[in-house]
Amino acid sequence: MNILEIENLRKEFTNKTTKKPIVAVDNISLSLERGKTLGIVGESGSGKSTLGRIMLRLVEPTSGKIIFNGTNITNEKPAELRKLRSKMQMIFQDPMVSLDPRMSVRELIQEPLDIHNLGTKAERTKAVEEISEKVGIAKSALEKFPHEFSGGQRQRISIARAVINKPDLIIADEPVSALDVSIQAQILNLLKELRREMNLSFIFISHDLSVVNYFCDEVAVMYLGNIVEYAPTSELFTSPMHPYTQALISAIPEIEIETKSKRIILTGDVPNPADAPSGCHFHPRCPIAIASCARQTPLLKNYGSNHQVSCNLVGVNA
Amino acid sequence: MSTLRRILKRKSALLSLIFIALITLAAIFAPLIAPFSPNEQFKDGLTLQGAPISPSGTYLFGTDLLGRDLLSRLIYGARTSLIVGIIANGVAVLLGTTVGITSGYLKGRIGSIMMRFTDLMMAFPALLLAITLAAIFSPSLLIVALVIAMVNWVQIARVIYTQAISISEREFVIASRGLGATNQRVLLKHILPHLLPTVLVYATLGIATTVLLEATLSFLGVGVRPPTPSWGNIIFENQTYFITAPWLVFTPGAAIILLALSFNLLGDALRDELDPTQRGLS
Repeated sequence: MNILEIENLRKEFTNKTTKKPIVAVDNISLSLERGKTLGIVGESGSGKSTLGRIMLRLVEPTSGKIIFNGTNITNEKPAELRKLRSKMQMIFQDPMVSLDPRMSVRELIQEPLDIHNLGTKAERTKAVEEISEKVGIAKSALEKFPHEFSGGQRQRISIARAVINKPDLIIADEPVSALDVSIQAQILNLLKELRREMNLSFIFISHDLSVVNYFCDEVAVMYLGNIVEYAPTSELFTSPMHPYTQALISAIPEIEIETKSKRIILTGDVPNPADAPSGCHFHPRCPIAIASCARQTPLLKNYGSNHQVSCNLVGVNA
Repeated sequence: MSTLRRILKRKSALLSLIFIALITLAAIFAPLIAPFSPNEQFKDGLTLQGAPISPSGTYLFGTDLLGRDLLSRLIYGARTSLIVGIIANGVAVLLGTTVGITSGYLKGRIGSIMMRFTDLMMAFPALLLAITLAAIFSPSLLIVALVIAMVNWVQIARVIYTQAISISEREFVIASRGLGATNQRVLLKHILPHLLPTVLVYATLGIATTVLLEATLSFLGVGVRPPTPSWGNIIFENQTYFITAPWLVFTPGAAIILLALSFNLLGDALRDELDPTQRGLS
């Protein structure tokens, strides 16, 4: 059974002065198998973080369905939702702002247990000490406060907080983007280890393709609120079909100069979502766009096993 | 080391605490300490021309315009001022914080209604409101304190409201809600501790303004009834002698300032020591 399914999720924000709707997430459907990891990649402003928060209903969707573990949670009442929250957790990008600076590490890690009232006082203390040892926080450091730690250590605290309740699903929103490269690898390995031991399912939101390649089973590429390509990781990286994905992958730095394929340079910036281009949102920056792309909105279609692409020209040229 | 111990290590905080304790003791044991009855008018309490007597052996702080012993009046006045200062300001801070924090966190309709009500209260001239309220209820010490609280909570609610809004948007609050925390928990465990510096500033600074507002009310005849002394009404009663007998205004004034300063310094120390990122830095 799938741990998480979302159907036709849409989120519009309304600009308060112009009253114009801004579509942050446009009609997205995804599913995640238990124990698997789905990466969501995209530039800033592509709607990936909003999508992640909608999945946990930290942001309410405008329309669409969220099914967690077989339960439709889209319209779940706050009290019911609170109970379910112990099974779905979030890891934020910057632990400096997502950890309350006035709480000690022990209080922070214990908070999920306190909230859901699990176990006795002694059991909670024991659980905190076990999990902090597992993520690599010394027992002696538990009485310290978040600002006394390095970035990597702080992210370990966030991770301990996320997994102490033995959740089924973790939504990690850029969990390593704020860290040094050497620390990134340690944190990713820790997440991998926990994923194996606890059979966790992950939604992994990132802008860093090499990190996604290392960590995810499947990848969805987002552009301006839409999914442009959705495929198993190995397939996406070896044979990307959407011109945007191709450009992103060609931009990953490589060590072997000879094998380096030609870099596809995209011009311009991500357009303002309040004023998204007509037809295919990507057409003003697309290297292969033709005139009809400005009119025709592409649909996400299947090409081969589980490889979905949203482009007017894929399949036509091939 | 406990927070209290760390606070006591600061010289300014320790001195403040000692001063507040002394004033409190003086207020409680006023009948034992005061050399005279505060309301007795002494035959030798005025000069032959009818002017107050300057500080001397018998009347340590001199006498006031009616020939009463100023020191005794100050000691008894500490009762009124402390009770009004602590009750009035305490209620104002409590009410202002509660209204501000709930409307700031809940936003929506309930928040709007609460804040519009606060705006309404703010639009009333504070003194007029206080006089009206004091006229409706017969003035006793407690009523005066509550009237002052009714006037003072509004600004506190406003400031707390805006801060609560900005804190409730911070990521650790979203993270805590994501963990399944109830509104009550978020408010008490995450938002309130971050509002503590502001609350403490109001709780300590407010003492001085409260004592002065009580004096104003007394002066207008709707505060503490004469001859009961309060630091504020001692100043007002004697202000006509400001040039010839300055001690009548300066001693109660100094008492108000020192009390306010002590509460302030203590509040500062408490604020710094309760914030883990500031602890031990100053």
